Amino acid sequence: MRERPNDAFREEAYELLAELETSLLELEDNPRDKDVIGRVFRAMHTIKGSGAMFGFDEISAFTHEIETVFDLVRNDEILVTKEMVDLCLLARDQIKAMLDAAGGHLEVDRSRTAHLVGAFRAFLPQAAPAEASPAAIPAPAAAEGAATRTWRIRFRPAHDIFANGTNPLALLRELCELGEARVVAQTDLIPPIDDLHPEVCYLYWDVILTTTADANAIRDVFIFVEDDCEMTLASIDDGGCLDDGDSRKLLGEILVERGDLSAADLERVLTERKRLGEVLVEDGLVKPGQVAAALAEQQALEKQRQNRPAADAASSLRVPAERLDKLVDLVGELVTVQSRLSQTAAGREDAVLTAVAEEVERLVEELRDLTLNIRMLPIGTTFSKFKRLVRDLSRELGKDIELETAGAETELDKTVIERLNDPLVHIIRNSIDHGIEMPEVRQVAGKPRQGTIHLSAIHSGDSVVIEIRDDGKGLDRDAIRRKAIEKGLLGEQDEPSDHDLFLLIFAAGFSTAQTVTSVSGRGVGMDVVRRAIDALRGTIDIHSEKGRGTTIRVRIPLTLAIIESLLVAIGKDRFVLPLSLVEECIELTEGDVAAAHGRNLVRVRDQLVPYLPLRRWFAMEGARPPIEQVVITSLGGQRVGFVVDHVIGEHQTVIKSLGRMYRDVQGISGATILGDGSVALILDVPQLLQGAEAEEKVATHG
Amino acid sequence: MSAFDYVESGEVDGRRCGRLHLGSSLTVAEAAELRLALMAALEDCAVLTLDAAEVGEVDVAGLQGLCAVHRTGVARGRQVLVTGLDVGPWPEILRLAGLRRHEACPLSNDRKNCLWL
Amino acid sequence: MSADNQNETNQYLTFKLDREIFALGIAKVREVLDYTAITRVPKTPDFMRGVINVRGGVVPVVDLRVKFGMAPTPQTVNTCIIIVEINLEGETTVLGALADQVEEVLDLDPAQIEPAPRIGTRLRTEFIKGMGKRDEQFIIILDIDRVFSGEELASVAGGEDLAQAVRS
Repeated sequence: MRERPNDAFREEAYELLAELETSLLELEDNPRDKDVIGRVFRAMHTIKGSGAMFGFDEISAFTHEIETVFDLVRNDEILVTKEMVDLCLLARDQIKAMLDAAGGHLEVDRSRTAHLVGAFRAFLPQAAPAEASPAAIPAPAAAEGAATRTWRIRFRPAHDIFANGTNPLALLRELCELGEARVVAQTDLIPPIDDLHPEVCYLYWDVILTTTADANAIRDVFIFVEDDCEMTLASIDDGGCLDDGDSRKLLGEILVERGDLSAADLERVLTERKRLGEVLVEDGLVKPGQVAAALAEQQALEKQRQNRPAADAASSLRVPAERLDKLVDLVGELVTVQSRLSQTAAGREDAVLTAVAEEVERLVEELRDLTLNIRMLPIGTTFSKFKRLVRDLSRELGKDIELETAGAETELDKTVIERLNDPLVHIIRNSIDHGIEMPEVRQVAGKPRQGTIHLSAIHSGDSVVIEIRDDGKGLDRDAIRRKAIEKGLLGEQDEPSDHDLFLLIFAAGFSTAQTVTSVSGRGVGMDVVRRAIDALRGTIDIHSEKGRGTTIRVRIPLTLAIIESLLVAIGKDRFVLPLSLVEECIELTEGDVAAAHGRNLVRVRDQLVPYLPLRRWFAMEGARPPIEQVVITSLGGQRVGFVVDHVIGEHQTVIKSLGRMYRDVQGISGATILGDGSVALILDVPQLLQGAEAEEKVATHG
Repeated sequence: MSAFDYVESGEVDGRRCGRLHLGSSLTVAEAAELRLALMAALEDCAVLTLDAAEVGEVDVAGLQGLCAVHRTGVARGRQVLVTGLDVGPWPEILRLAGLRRHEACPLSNDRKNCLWL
Repeated sequence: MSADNQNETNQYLTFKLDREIFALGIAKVREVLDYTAITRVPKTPDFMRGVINVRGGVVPVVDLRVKFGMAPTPQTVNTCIIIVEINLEGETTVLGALADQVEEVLDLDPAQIEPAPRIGTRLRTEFIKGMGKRDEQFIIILDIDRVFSGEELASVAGGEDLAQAVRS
């Protein structure tokens, strides 16, 4: 089941491309930032290097062209321009296309590649014909990815390394940041103070680095001083072998391996009985610093061996997503079985069984939380994609828009994040297209020329609230009203609140756009948003102030797999509703129904709340009981009741899909398995709510 | 006034003691000046204490200078000590630079005679 | 999946719907379950009887009799649910089919199988893979993928407008 190296490369390359995009956008704002330039260069360099290694020659050759340009940039020979960033972004897309092509046997537009190559070469001074083939690609010492390994690095800066402003300590620091490092300075070249040339570098270093970074990443640290230092890199332990306790290396072997000591000398010294290190130094065979470095290496190896189990637990691990899905499925089944166990235990008066059931319940709960947690990812990855979207689209439209983000670290279920992407794209596009005005218009209105879209994510209970706020022109109440009436979504006489009116933009077939652009305005966008969010069991809320901007708030449950819910019964059928939407349950007597004069309204304290009799709505057989229950739900500030025969109680619901055959069933979003093994259906509250609204409208209009 | 301020600090066991205050910066920019100050101070006393407590910035050139004066002192039978290595950037710098007593100095195989902590 | 074309065996599971005998290629059959209570999904066509729990998964159950224009399958001691894997537009889907009685696994030589007759059966011919024979009795071999082809399913959900449903 091992991933093929090619897949590993592609996966890594996709990640690098994502980072590259972020770096490029950053570079656009700070074209002189050396750090960012370095990041761009390293990303290109790594893609080129690993690409060549895994036979992606086209990618490697292409990336080489960009790398060449960035080599000049980081040497201050040319400056970063907007045009260059644009080209780089296009190049990034092209590399991605090449990767996609490699995965799916698609064709890449080679003329585009050639065009880009030409454009990059134009950046080179005197337009020197760049080498046709990629320059020597550093032969990586090892191909494997994330395993923890220990490396021996000797770093010997050139004597004049200070002259170009390089601080070797900074490089050592970078190296140390890659993992656990032991640095040993070699001071033997330092002369007496009288002979010291203050600007010559005498020190050199041995570093023992235990890291998950690969050879390329280590080499990358020295990338800017390649010509100004000697750097040797050797793997002295590749993680897996460490279990072999006997492979522990002796000090002497290490010194021989490093070339600090000849094997013959070692042989001779070993016949003496003193501590090896001392003997070697006394005999002048090796310098103390070399012994120290070798000792450090020995210690690092031993330490790594001791720490291996702990280190493994702490380090991260790449797991195919399907395996996690399978795990969640199994935990789901376990939750179901556990609830059956609890039910069985409750039915018998057996103290031992009850105790066991409780223990299992506790464990399953812990296991469930842990499992769902594993699938949590920060939402930030999606955010960075939006940065690009905003940049490209606003340019296309001649607008000046900045995307601010907050809460990128907020974690959400992986599937939820994936499925959130499209609706968020639609909302942001809508803001760019219809929300934010042209710079001149903004200026006239006394606003800054640059518009802002603020995208944030924050945890709130068992959900995440994602807010998209723009400082554009706000929604046009009258236009929406007209449109809604025209589309039959609103009666001529209706005077809904702003809030209710604005929500109509999410209705099917609604669009107020005057012109159809490539961006949005085909009258499908917001409708799609609504459906996607509904499918995630989320809610949308909207606020807008004319001239000030629009805020759309999307609330999404943290996970799609398991929810707390309320179990209800109608006849002998059982249904569940997401508990997060339930406000309270009240009784509905025949008297209440009569008092409402045929309208489906119930008084909850001082408010009249519309309700939907599910028995009738689902056209179910059987008579309703004299006293029914109304489950009052609240969704996006709207309260609606659902009439059921009776409320059974809370239930931990493992959500199961109803499958293809039932995918378009109205009012039902899925199913779950109850403790007794039977199936209950999950009510699709948002969809039912629309039904209730329609029903109420019919009742009011006669 | 120089960034490197030398003062005599009396005698211990008949050995003349001196103290050199290292300024706030020990980088390649100051390396030439540092070298001169160290040489002068080492000329003047038998026990030289370098006060590094005020150093805020130090690079490899600075470290080499201190190393060099130390080994010169040892070669001439003088004692060179350094104080203030436990504050400011020092602990981190010494870790990064891999300068630790018993590890680095060719003169300190007995592990007692290294400049560095 | 092309697997069932290549590994086509000559074995068939036969079962009764009303008085007629039907057969399914054994490769399509995952297991046969005793009848169990089916949870009805509201507002769906009659031939879709609802869903059941099969080892922790939710599986739809269809009433082939209704699908084929017969009276709904009554519940008797012999009623079974045949769990089959069908191929819907390239996706494998598991579903249960109600049968009045499951009979046996039968070997049928391909030579013994005749093409579907154009007349004389209530079934649409595209649902029939062929006709086998056992003791002078005809066996209708079903092409179960066709029975639940995409077009057929799409009509299941048939875009009933919500508001209209409420009004009616």
